[in-house]
Amino acid sequence: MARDATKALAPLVFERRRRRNWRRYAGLSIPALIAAVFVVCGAFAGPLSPDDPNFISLGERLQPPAFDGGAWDHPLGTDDLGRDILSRILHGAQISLIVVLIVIPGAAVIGTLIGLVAGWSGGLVGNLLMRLTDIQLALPSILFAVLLGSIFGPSLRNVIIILLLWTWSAYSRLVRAEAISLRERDFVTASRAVGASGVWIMRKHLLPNLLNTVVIIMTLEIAIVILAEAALSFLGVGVPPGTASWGRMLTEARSFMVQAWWMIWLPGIALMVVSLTGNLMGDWLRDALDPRLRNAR
Amino acid sequence: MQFWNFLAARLLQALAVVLNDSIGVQYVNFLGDLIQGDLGYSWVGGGVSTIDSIGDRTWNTFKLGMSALAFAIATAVPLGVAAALRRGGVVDWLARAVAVFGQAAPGFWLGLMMIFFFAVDLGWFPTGGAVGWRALILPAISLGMLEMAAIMRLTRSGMIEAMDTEFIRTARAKGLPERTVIVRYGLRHAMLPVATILGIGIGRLIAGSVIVEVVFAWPGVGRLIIDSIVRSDYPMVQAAIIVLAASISLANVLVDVSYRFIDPRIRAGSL
Repeated sequence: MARDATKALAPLVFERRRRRNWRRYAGLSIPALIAAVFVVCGAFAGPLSPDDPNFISLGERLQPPAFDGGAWDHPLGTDDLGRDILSRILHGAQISLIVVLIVIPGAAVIGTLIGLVAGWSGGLVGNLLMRLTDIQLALPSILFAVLLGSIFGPSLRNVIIILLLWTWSAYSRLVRAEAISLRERDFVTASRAVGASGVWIMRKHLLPNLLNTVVIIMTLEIAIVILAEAALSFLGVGVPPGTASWGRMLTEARSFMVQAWWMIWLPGIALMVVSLTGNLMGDWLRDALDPRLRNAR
Repeated sequence: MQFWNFLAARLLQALAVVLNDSIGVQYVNFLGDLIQGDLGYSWVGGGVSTIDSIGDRTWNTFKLGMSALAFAIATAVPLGVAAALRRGGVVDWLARAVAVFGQAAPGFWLGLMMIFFFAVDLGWFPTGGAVGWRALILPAISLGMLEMAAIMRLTRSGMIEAMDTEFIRTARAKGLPERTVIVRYGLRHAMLPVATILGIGIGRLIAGSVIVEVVFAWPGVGRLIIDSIVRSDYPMVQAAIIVLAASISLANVLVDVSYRFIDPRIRAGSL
């Protein structure tokens, strides 16, 4: 009798579990789709663009998008110099993508190494590294970035260096906190007892345990990095003038806000959708991998 | 004539301080002046004392930051509490949408959009500057949005957690009115993490004010720094950054002290 009941219930239980699994991933589907579109747009900006993003044609300046009464040869209209907005947004996605692909892994490696060493060794080295992180966190990083940007001059390479300096401390602080609590765990003590070196323990025991945290921060930092690049370019210390970047497009649109709504709406929407996507993916990943981090930021 | 002599003397003084000595000596001199409240002289604009130019603007930035914070707290806390008390309801859904968008929207774009709608289209507020209380509204909202989203999320999760605890059940069992239970017991518990994030939040507000001040042509310290960087007026940049960093430290100290008033456990212990 009991066996029959189990048998009868089994498909139900299975069904419920499968539905729950499906629901777990449903929250990710739309952000993942948008992220894929963003990556494709960035990677194939050249072939996808209908026009050269920097081709100036003053005869066609300030044309509205096709859905607002414009011509189809400029689907999203043109800016004050007659440049095609769609092409510029696609190339702007490319800039954001390049920045993300270099800054996120770079800052993650630097920040994790610093946090790991600071958490493991404690003492003078650890304190020194942590004070460095504190200074980094206490100073408004945008001021530091603007200062560096004005000294080194606007270029994509400098933006990437500045953003690396800007974002590494987000990793090192959390990694250090985790490393300190892991250091006291039994498996680390056991490892030490059999004579493992510090580097070996960090690599084999601490790093694998920290990976979840680092991956979550990396995802959440995507939006921060993209917005930071846009902010620097908006202030004129990011990418050089003329480059098609979302922040630059917004700066240039400021004077034409009244005549050309599309100049300011479209890059802003692109920026917001991508940063929203990054945040949603990060939140999802955090809930899935490590609910304890929910209030960490 | 006397004015020109004075000006030349000041400029020479400024240059001599900066250029004659080695970096170490310059640094010691700088620290000595700093203790006496002398942050050096601007390289442009006739060699005015930097502390004088910063003084006027600090008040403006302070006003902007406090208004942004007031906006964030005044909207986030009631919204967060309402969302937590009716989980899954319309208010909750709305609150979460506001939180997600508030965190994703770049402050400067939000500012530009608000100028577009409320200043240009409707003409309710000026597009920039700092004349009158109307000029304060738009910059304060665009600066406070990010903090509002953060405070709302924390209030909501803190309230949900608090309403589940034993002391709330006790308070209800005592027969206290629901309003008192929520405000005096639940909200007070939920405000603790909010106080913690305020320390970080004030730093973020000051950093954010740099961009918002540029967007709204607000005459504050942030815009002074950006302008001075563009003009290569380094003494001014240096002085302004010191003032901002000091205010961030001060804000953090104040937040730490405020724990005493929020959390009775700390007051009872040794602080």
